[in-house]
Amino acid sequence: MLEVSGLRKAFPDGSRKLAVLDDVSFTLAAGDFAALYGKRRSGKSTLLRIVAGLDVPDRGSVRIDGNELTSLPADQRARFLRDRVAMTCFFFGGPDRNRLVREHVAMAQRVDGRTTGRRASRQAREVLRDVGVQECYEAPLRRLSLGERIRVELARALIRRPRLLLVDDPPPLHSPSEGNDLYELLLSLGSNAERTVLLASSDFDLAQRAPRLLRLSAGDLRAMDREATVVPFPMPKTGTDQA
Amino acid sequence: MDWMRSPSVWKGPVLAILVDGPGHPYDVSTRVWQRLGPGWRQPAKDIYRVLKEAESLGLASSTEQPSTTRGSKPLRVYAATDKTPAAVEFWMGQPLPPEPDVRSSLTARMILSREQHIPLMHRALDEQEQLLVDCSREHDKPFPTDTYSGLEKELARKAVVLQMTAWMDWVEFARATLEDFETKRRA
Repeated sequence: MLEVSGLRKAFPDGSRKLAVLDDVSFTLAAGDFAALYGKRRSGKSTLLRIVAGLDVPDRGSVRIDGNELTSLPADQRARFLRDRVAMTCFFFGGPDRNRLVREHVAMAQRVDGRTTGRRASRQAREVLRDVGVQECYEAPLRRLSLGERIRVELARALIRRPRLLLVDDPPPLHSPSEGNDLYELLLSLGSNAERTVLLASSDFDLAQRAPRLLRLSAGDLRAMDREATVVPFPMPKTGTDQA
Repeated sequence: MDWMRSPSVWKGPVLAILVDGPGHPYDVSTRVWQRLGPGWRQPAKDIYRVLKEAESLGLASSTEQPSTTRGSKPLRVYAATDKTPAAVEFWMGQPLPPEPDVRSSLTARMILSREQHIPLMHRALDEQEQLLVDCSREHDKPFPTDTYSGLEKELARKAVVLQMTAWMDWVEFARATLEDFETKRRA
């Protein structure tokens, strides 16, 4: 579904150029769920932005469903990406703080110019329910907790039913139980065989739970596949330690 | 409580496990590992020594019970006494050892290596990184923290994951430092 090949991207760093992606290649099949782990500023967002067509590589190619992005004319590429790819980022300080959740989510569907407002609102309600924040439908964005805001952004990405979902480093939540619920939601996004998910994360505990794990470090991408033998821990309790 | 003051890391956990329920040395050793996780595997004979010492001080008692396996020797089963919970409480409040355990065979090799060992060090770093990822991914499922039993499992799991992540960061730093050194040498 996604083929990334020989990707290179460098940014100026004083008088030299710093390669944040250096000959990065990987493929994801339809229905794959992969986590891209790397520390902050390791190039995760750059990689996602290139895959989403928001940035161009210095070298290399990105193919989605067999179509090479750079070979498509700009308007065709924009349409192609809009119909297949959604990328969600978590920057929450923009001028949209007073916008209502339903407007914020529905807007992502209405950009195609074909969906009516009523239909987009109905779809927004459905997708907000899917991510567990249906009660926020009429709330302004500024009233939401961090956990709710993350879920709303995911809803905004999911409303167009993308075949490829790119999730860019969800911020950590303060409460461990709330964090675990969000982990579960993110992982459940990969249970759809039609949807491919690439989750960038600087939290290894989140990234390691994805079926496929890629590690980005100093421009180099490594596949860190799971070993076949897994020792469960803690082991099931024995009869003697139930007291 | 002088016996509990010694730096052995096994006394407190062994007594706490006995307070949870009686067991023979192998069973106690297994339960210590089950509860505390990787790095806490200890041969039953070492645990047996702790149990014998605890018994001599009245912090544990033992009885001989027939083995469930035909033809095997009877098992010595240890149990907590009325003094054991207070000893566990004492252990919980003891100051921690002054030096945290940061030993690793990889860091020893790196520190004692010479320039000609750089290729071997790169290989060791790659190997170490994969081992750390594999170890951490054995503990990738969080436990619900709404019960104390779940909470203690989650704390043990998270301790493993965060330690593995910190070591992975060190591996990344060591690799980058070596590469930087090699680049400068070539220039």
